[in-house]
Amino acid sequence: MKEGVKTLLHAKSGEMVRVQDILGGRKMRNRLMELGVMEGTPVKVYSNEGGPLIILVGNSRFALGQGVAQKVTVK
Amino acid sequence: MLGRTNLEGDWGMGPIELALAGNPNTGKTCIFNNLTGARQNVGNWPGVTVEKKEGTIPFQGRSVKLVDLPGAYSLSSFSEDEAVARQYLVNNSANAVINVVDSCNLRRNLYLTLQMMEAGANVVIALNMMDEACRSCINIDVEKLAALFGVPVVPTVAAKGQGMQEVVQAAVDRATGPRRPFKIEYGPALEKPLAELEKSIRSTAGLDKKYPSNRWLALKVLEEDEGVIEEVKEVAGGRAILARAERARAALAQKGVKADSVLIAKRYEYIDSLVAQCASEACSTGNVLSDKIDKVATHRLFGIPVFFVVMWLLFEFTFRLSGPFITLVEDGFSRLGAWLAIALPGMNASGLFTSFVVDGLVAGLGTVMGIVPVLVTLFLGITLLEDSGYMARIAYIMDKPMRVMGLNGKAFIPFLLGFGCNVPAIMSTRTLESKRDRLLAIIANPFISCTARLPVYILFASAFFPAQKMPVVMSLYFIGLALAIITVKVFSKVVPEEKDEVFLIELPPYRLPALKGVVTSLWEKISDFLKRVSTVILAAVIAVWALSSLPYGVEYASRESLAGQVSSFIAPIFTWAGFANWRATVALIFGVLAKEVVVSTLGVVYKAGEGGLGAALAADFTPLSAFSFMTMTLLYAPCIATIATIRSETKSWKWTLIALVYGFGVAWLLSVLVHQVGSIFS
Repeated sequence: MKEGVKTLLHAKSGEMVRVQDILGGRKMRNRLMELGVMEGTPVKVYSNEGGPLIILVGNSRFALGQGVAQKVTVK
Repeated sequence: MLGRTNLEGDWGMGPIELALAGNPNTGKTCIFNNLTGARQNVGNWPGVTVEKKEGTIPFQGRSVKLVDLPGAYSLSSFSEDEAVARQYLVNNSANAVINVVDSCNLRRNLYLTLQMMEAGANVVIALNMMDEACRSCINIDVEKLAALFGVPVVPTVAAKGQGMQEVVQAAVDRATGPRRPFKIEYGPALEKPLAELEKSIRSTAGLDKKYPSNRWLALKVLEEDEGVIEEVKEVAGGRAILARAERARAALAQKGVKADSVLIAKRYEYIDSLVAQCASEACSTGNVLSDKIDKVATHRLFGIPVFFVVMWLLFEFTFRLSGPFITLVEDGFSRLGAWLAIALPGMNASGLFTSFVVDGLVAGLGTVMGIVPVLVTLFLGITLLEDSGYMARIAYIMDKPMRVMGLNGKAFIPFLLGFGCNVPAIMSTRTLESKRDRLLAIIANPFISCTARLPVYILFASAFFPAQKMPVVMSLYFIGLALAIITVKVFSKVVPEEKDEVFLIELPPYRLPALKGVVTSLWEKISDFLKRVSTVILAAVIAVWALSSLPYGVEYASRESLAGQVSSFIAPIFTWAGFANWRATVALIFGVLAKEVVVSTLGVVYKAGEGGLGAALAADFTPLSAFSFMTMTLLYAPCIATIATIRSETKSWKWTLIALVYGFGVAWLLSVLVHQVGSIFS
């Protein structure tokens, strides 16, 4: 991981972010994209309190593991 | 599967098959229940690879079959249940597909729609209104949506049963009409390799026209869909196609193009361009009430205590509510047996026949049916958890604890279901995306103490630990759970780790479970069980009776009977465990057919009714060996139905055998340990 790159894992509860890129694992990247999480998608972080994160994409809430969140770079 | 049937032309009054597909949590099940009502045939039980529900819709005097596919976000092979949906849509000849689309998540839902259209399905959209909150803020021009996508769109409110007949009408119309080809342009960079792949597919006899369209197959091999690749490999010339796709991917990668990602992004681009013309900007209000509940239910600190309270309620509810019914069922059967024992000889029935009916059928089925009340109440509780939306939160809350075992939160659900019955529990592992997680969850699941083992604990605990009945029973549940955890740990060392982390689950809005849906879903689960009773367990009951009656002329269930002889031979291996008597052994052998058979077999070999069995057992067991025997029963081998499920879900005899041998080894070791360590203290 490059210095200064912010991932979903760094986002705070309640923060609104925009997806920049999805790194690593082909399988996970494709799944996130199929769910509509891709470059430019606005994501609201509901909860990021140490365990899995809860995010709001469109009108759906998803829980995602920290390992997944770590691969999603955001702005 | 050969090429799909030609669906053009007049269908007249012939049968029509419709499929129901859609994302999870779109109201799909609700529509299925609305349409089929009580006329549904219940889903398949183990041994069948495809898990789909079927029902019939009475429609203008025609027979319309409706197939309910597992909820899917896409037709890729991400998880097993989605692969099932893909396989069905690609290989079967559904005349039309009713695609349930949640109007509050239009974009994402249309992604699946698009994939189905690309696969050549005759799609009809049921535009379902799920959420009251979003209904007021989203505005969709239905006619324009239909025109833009070129498919019929019917607005529905599944919860209120609105639009149901209209959907069926549209689907039947579509089914009898011609298929319309559908194509998305992916841009020059991808169209060139796609065209080349299509060309080589056309010249490969085994693949040409095997799939919905050659273009569809070209897309799938280019995006490296695991499931499709497995199929193509098997076809002569298939490997050459795959190599060509590999080269195309490599060439694209050099230009910085990830073929699979670009295909997905292009599909979304297409959707966005159309949605922009027919729907207002999607409002992202979320669901206020749901969020409030989640503030507590998924709270960092309160989440776990809330979860424990829910679990405690679940088991409390199960055992309290079912208790009186168990007594009722058991009393009923023992009275029936007593009455028949007098009535049958009175009707000139032979001794052999009377024995078959009374000792075999009635006694055996009585024990088995005794667990039905527990199963009903536990499944009722689980159904309520599922339908309310809390189940997804359980996966979320349990994620952290499950990480300690090297699994993620989703893998907890099969363990929870295992307390009901291991068969649906093992089948539910299909929702796990990682093959490794799935295998671990399957191997460990039989250690979770299912309902069928409860009668064994109750029998022994009442007889030998009357004062500490509940703690003893609970301790067995915990031993099972602990061993499941250890098993995952042990096998996670053996099964190679996957580097991709995949924990991702949708948290649907909380909903008050609809009575009709709960009853239907409960009935499905129970009738699955009863089906099993009528086949495997009935056969078991008869086998037990026969082996206990042969060779002809021996005293029923005596040591001289076939069952007695075999068991006497095997029994010594249980010397260290403290129950090296042939009666205990014969019960264990027959218990493989179904664990509840252990009790009925003991009833038979001790020649005691349910009531007197406890006292009869005291002759052969001490409290310590009783506990050791319970441990053995808990762990030693899954029942036949579970073994069959392990086989069908792992698709591997090797793993099935490993699960069996490992299970027996662990059971033997632990019961020996219990007895030996216990002997030191007593």
